Amino acid sequence: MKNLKIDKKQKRAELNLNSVFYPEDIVKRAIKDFSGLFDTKLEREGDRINIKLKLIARGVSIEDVTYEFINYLLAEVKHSEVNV
Amino acid sequence: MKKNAESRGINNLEIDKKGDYLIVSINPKIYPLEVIYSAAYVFLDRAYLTIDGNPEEEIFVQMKPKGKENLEKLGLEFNNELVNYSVYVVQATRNQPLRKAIIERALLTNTEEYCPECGAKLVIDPETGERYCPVADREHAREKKYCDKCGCEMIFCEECGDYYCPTCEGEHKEGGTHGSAEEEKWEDVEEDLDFVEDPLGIAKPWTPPKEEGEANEKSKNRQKTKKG
Repeated sequence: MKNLKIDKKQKRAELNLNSVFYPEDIVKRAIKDFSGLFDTKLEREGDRINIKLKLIARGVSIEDVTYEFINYLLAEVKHSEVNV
Repeated sequence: MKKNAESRGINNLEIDKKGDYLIVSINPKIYPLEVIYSAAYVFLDRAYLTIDGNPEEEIFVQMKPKGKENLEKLGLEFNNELVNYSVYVVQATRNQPLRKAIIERALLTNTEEYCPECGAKLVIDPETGERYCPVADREHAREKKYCDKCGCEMIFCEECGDYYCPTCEGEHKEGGTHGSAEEEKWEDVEEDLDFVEDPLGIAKPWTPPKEEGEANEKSKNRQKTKKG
C-alpha cells in the first residue's frame, strides 16, 4: 500500500492517513486499544496524520498486526461517523 | 501500475505491479463518503483497506486481499457494493418522511391526552390521525345557564334533555323529574338512620348505676363548696 511502510527487521511500521477520512480522536482511541501490541508515536502534518508503530508483542508479525490495525481503524470510523 | 479491467470499459481499478494490492478510484460526487465507508466495511473480512485522496475530487480505496484472491474480481465486487449502498441510501432518503411519520404515530399511540375543557380522554380519528374530544359536539357547544335562585351553574341532563340546578334540584329520578335537593338530603339522612338502629343495645355506652345515697351526698358537697 502506498501510505504504509513496514520494516520487518526493525519490527516497525509507518502509516500515513488523511484526517478527513480518519478523524484524529478515533485514531487515538484505536491506538489506545492496540497499546498492548505497539509503542506508538503520532504526528500531525496539516490534514495528514503520521503514525509510527513499534511492535512490542511477541509471537506476532508486524505486518499482520499493522494491517489488522488499519482495518480496525476503518471499522471504528464507520461505526462513529456513518449512519447507514 | 497496469490497468486490467480497462478492456471491459471499467477504468477505475488499478492493480499494483507486484500484484499485492488494488486501488479503486471513486468519484465522491457519484458515491458519497458514507456509501464508500459502508462498501469498504463489507470487505473488511476479505481484505485490508485504507481510504485516501481528496474528498471533493477523487477518493482512492486501497485493497490488499487477506488470502489468495483475484484482485480484479475483488475490485469489481467493490464497485457492485458501491452501487448497492447507493441504492440503499437513495431509498432511505426517499422513505425518511414516511419512516418518521410511522415512528411518530407509534409513539403517539401510547400517550393519552385529555380535553382541556371537560377533561374527557381524547380519541384519535383513524382517518386523519388527529385527536378530538368525544363529548365536544354535545357539551362544549351548549350555552352556560345559571340558576335563578342560587346563581350556580346549571347542568344539562341527557335523560330529561333540560338543564337542572345541582343545588336546588337533585339528580335525575326515574319519573323524568329532578326532585329538590332538600328532599334528597332527607332521604340520605333516613338511610343513615337505618344504619344507626341498635335492637340489641350494643351501641349504647355502659355506665355503672349510681346508688341513691352517694348521689345525694355528692350534690350536698357541691352546694357547700359553692356557698363557701
